[in-house]
Amino acid sequence: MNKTIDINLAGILFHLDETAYRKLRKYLNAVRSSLQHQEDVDEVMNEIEARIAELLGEKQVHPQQVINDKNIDEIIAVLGEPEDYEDVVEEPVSAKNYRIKKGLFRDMDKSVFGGVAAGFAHYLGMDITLMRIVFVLILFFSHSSFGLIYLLLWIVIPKAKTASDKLRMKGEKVNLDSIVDQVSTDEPINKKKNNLGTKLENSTQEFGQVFARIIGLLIAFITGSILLVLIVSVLSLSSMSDMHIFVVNTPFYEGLNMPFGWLNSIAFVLVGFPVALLFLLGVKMLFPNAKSIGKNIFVIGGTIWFLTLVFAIVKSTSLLAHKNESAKIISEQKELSYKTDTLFLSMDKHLLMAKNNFNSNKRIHFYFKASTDDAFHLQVEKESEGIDVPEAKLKAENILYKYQIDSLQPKLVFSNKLLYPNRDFVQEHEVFVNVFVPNNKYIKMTDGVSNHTYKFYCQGDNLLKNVNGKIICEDNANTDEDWQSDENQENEVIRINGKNVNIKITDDGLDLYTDDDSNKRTHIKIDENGIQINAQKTKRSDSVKLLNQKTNNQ
Amino acid sequence: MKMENIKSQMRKGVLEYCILNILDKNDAYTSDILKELKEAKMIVVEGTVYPLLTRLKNAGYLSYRWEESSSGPPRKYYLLTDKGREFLKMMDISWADLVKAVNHISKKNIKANKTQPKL
Repeated sequence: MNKTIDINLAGILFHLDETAYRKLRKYLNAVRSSLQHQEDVDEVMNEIEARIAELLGEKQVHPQQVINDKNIDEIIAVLGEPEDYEDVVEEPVSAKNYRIKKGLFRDMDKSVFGGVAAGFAHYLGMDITLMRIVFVLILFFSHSSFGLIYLLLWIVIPKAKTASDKLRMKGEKVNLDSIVDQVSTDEPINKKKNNLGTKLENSTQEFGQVFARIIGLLIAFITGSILLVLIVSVLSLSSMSDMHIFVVNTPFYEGLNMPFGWLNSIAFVLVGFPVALLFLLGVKMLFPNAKSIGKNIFVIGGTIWFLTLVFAIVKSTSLLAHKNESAKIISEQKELSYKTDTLFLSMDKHLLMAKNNFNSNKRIHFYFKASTDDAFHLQVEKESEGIDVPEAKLKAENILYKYQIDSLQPKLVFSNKLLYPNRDFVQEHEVFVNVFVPNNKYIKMTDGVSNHTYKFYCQGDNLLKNVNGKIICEDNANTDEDWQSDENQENEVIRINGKNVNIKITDDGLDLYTDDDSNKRTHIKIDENGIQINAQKTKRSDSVKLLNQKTNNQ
Repeated sequence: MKMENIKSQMRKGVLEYCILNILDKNDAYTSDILKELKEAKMIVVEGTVYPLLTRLKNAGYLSYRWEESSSGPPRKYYLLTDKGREFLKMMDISWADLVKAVNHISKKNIKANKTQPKL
């Protein structure tokens, strides 16, 4: 049983079996190519088809008879091989060697998008890959405007459709042999296209393919870049031990006691495999004809990925389930020799500089307690967490913290941050600064110390006092105003008993004076030297050192 | 150089002249022309003729008309134009000249061959 194909030659219907049809089509295509340089090719072809119709009509016994390939062979014998059609009068004798005029076509067989680059490569006799690279380079240097030109070329340059188009595109001689070669290589593609049906379907399909390729290119590009970054970072991490690309707040590292490279390897597998899959998908979309990677690689890769995932989940859940222990150590304890009433506390961000150390902005806490004797005491405690208490203690010892005791003034300067020498993301590191205050003595907090106190936050001048074993805010009636800020050194004007009183607070101390002429006014100055009172009544400048006197009565 | 090639070249060269001659007698449709050329052994295969006919027509030496056929597709009848007739006259002359020239040379050679003893 054989399929028959109905054809129409010069307006007459013929039934051809499939082989006969294919042979005839090939023959007519080849003849058309031979006549390439002839004017009015269509007219000549019409005449030839009419003649074929006539000859076939003679062979047909009755109109229902199916024409087979033998009939076609006979007709070709009568008409001659495609080469015989070549018009020798116009073309000189050296017909066999004459140069084919090359045509610029788009090569859809080797296209990535529209086949423009491939077409140009054929036309200029260049390697296709090289031409693509050139195209991509032009695209980059033209800031993508070449994309538009490409679209234009796509529209303007015809697609190489027929076998002879393809031969001309490649600059090959068009004769029956070459055409047969060409057609036989085209066969599968042509067949596919025929099955797909109408031209419209073909073109929409072509558009869809191109769209898929653009998407594929995007996916491949993005995932490819990610992969590259992953690989480069994993490779470089082995040399740079202080870097951590992926894993910031995972509970892995501390608990696993694994080399850090291991952690990155796990992360690499977990992230890399899906990205690689996407990359392959993109490549597949970009080059639909590309060979697929073997199933085994997928199976092996997927298994490794899955095992890694399971490992990671198990490890992290076990770590999370494990309750961390914390431990506190007393790193320093000191009695301060200041005999003053007030101890000044301040902070300095330059005391500890983070270089290679991991800069941990973990908490620093100030606590104020009553001293059991007449001296100020300082105690620094460090607290850390670990899987067990000894580990936590070890870590606490590693915390770096610094402060300075001023030898001239009653002043302690603390670092505003603590450092931890190793990578440590999970556990808390904390420093507790405990200051013990003797009875009836003061703590003055400056430079942000009050930000590190929780219980002892005082509005206003941040002055604390031990009143019979209780640390309380030394409240000043006037401290509701924004008094103590260092930047705001403008004179505050307060009226007391009908007189303006200027109150000036600096780091050095407190300055109160009335709003009179400088030689008439009452002036109270409190600083490190003690309290100076210049009263108008006394008409002389009195300087009294009052160590144990309260300062807030005018 | 192959003998076949030369033969076909020689034939092709005078083919146009033959076609014009056939049409000079009376109008003919393609198959008639082909038939006559084949009988005269001017051509072996038909393919050669089609582009020639079109070219002659385009050059204005031939015109054509369609005629219905009882069997098969409508037939394209070619006829010689006035321009074609003039062209044919010129070709007659050049053909005569060519035959004369070829004869002249070949006869001389035949004579020469006769006088020379065969090796």
